[in-house]
Amino acid sequence: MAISRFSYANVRVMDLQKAIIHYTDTVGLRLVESDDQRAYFQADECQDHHCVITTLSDRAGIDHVGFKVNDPSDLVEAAEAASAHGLAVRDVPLGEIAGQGPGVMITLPSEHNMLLFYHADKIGYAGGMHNPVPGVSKNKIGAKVSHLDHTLLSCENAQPTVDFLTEVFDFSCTEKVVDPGGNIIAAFMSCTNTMHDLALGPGPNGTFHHMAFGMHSRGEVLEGVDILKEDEVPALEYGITRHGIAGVTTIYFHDPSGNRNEFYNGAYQSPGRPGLVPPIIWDVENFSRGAFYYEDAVPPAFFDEVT
Amino acid sequence: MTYQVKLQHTGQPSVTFQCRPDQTILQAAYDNGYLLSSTCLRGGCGACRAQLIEGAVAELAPMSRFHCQDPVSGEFKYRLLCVASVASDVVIETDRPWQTRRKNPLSDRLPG
Repeated sequence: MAISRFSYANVRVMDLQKAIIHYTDTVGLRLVESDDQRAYFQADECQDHHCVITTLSDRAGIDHVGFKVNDPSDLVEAAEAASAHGLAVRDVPLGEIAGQGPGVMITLPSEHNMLLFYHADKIGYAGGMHNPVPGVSKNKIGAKVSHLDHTLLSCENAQPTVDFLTEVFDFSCTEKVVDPGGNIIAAFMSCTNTMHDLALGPGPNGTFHHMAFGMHSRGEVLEGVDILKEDEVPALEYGITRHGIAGVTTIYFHDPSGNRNEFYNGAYQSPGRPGLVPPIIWDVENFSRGAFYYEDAVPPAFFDEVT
Repeated sequence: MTYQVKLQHTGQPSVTFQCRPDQTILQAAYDNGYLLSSTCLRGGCGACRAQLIEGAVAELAPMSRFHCQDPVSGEFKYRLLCVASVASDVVIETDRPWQTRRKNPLSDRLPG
């Protein structure tokens, strides 16, 4: 059984039209399809049908995160393993979510829903699939986002979810923040060669901290900030900064329903067999430097306010 | 046309100011020198949640129902001031304290 990669985030929004304008004009994703309940978006450098779904709701937050598996038979194995671990599992039939095959929805101990699936319809790269145009088109609208990189989900105690993801789904923990008693405050979990595909941080169970869009350079993050300012998008008080954790250049901002987004660049690669590469450890008294390296401080609202 | 907003929070002296029906209570507070707790400014995160004690408010944009609920009982309890405006004079109890803001910090430094 193997999860091949993080695929998409399905976020709840309170105004679908405003969400479509934000994720296309500002963030720079392609609108793939939409109806009166959902809109599907994809970044320029992914072939699959979507990397973001926005679902109309009476609240902001995360509906579920989607991960792809290597083989259709992995879905059966994953469902059995999650059930044996005591987690709620349900089949998601073909057609429930556009652009992808059937899957299994697993409710993690953190009360977040994780959907595993095998097949995704292909829409191709933005530059084309036959004699393509390399690089970013001169007609590009919005920020130069290459892909959706990861989400940070909030929960009261990350340990049971970290245990499940590492012991059952073969994730690696690349970095973690621990208190003096050894309890996990935050954990950065990877199922690929990237530093994190899914992170867990402090907050009420089932809540959404952010999803991060990857870019190719620090310069593109700076250009992205200019677009956020021009479009009057609310951003974190620090503006552009650097995380000590992963060392990335970053800015946080909010979609029209208040869901936190991030533009970022510069995470390291983390190859290695799951469980054999030790994680970086941050003591909680150094967490401010790990979170915001230049400021060495965390604004209280950064973890207090989630959607 | 404006309505009066009275803000209160335990341990803080209450303050009053005027708010137009086309602006958010958060913005009117800011314009009058009061910095309310806020983060997303889009009705999603709940940082600006407050209880309506008297009067009526209007929603200029949707409020996340998750953050309008009491976290324990689930009852509808809070309004989010970043997207709420006034439909009458109101009395509001904020969940978080507010800070005061100097209105013209630069002009204070300019020579007379």
